[in-house]
Amino acid sequence: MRRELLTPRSGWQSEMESIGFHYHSIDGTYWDESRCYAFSESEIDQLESATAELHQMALNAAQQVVGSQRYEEFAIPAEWVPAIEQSWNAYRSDQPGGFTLFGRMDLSYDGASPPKLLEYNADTPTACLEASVAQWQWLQAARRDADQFNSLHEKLIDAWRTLRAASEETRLHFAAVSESQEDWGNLDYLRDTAIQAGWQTFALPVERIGWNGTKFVDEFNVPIERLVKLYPWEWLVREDFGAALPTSTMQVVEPAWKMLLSNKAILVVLWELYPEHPNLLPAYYEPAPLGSKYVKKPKLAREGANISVVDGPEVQATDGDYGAEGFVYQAVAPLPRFEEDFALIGSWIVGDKPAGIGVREDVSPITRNTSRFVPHYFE
Amino acid sequence: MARRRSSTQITLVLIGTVTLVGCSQQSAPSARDHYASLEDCAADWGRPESCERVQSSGYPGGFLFWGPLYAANARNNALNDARRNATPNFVDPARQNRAIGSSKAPTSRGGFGSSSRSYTSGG
Repeated sequence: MRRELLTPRSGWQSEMESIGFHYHSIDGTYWDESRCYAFSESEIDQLESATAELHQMALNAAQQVVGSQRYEEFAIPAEWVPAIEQSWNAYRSDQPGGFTLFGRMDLSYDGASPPKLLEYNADTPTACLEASVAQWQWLQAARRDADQFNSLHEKLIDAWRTLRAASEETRLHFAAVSESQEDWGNLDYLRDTAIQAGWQTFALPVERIGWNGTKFVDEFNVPIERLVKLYPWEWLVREDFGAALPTSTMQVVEPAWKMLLSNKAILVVLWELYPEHPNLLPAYYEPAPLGSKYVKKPKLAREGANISVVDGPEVQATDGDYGAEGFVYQAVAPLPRFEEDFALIGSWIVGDKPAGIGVREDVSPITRNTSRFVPHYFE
Repeated sequence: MARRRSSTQITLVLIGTVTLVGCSQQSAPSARDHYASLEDCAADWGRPESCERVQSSGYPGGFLFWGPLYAANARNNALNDARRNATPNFVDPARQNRAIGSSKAPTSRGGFGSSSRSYTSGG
């Protein structure tokens, strides 16, 4: 794994906009092709096999949580347990009600030591358009003879196609917060892949979803059969319409059982089930077993908010409004550093298979939503 | 030969051709009429192409038909325009309403979305 410095293509901005990537320069520099990461094939093999194994272990951890009723550790309200278990059982029996489209694991990997799981963004993973289309387009222009770990596009279409074949419904409604350009860029891309798989699709802001007393409906009062949301479950369940969700017939992508994998408490369960696994870091509900060096993470948080990296008396922390549900404490796996930049691997799962990676860079060791997306290739 | 792991082709059919919220926002309340048959829908709206078949377990045969979207306060104008466009020599707008319902039922909204604060929803 190495970083190469490049001259950006002239006119790359219009190239990105042509694929719907309008937020390429959000907060300054976001898409950054002034550099790229080069991997060897064996490194990609290692990332792919670790991702597949970690996903399988995460599913086993979810089964452990369900089987042992450990919902309190995950700060999941009791009224939500039936919905989680129903969707989990549907997933286990390959029924459409348990359908999962995707997830993204954040890994610390330096090309030498085994990849380490930092967290699993299993509910609302973003940077999908970037990882799938944007860096593929860059590959065609900048490293045409090389390969890239990226089959997201066809795997997304295949997943939608599989769901279409198993479902009676024909419509998908896509929803996200109205003002988030990044979320809509991702959601429109997912919608594009669903259309290519034969779905009839509609989009609406999550704020405009309606409840008519028996069904959730769109802004034209058309019943929503299956909602593809880029909006966290933990927010949905606590909002005004949340109480109606468990009794409604509306299916949701990602399904309710993903509340288990996207919660940082899953890191503690994973370490319990697979102690000393080379792709896991020790994780606990208290810092004592980790000594004076650890990372403190809220069970429910996004975009690197409210994370503290503790090294004895030194504490490096990000701000935010999360943490009310409690914290987990994880051993430190330093991100590899290239000059002043730290690099993090986002490794994608589509359906239940590894589908590619994206690299994020930041001058901070804590990756945030503003961290730059850097393309990669391997040979 | 090594297994190639990048997509060989990527085709997009939606993004790049629509604006971000182009199909997500309507400035005025809209409605659609529901019909039990394609014939009834086509009779109201001038041609079958204006109608959309959708699955619905509550109706005979398991599906019903939607007419086109129209401004909720201007149904008659929408009907007249649709019929006139479908039939150039159209003269009589007074036809029977064959719809079995419309989508203007009272619905509460805004029950989702309050948690977004200053963050985006992704991770």
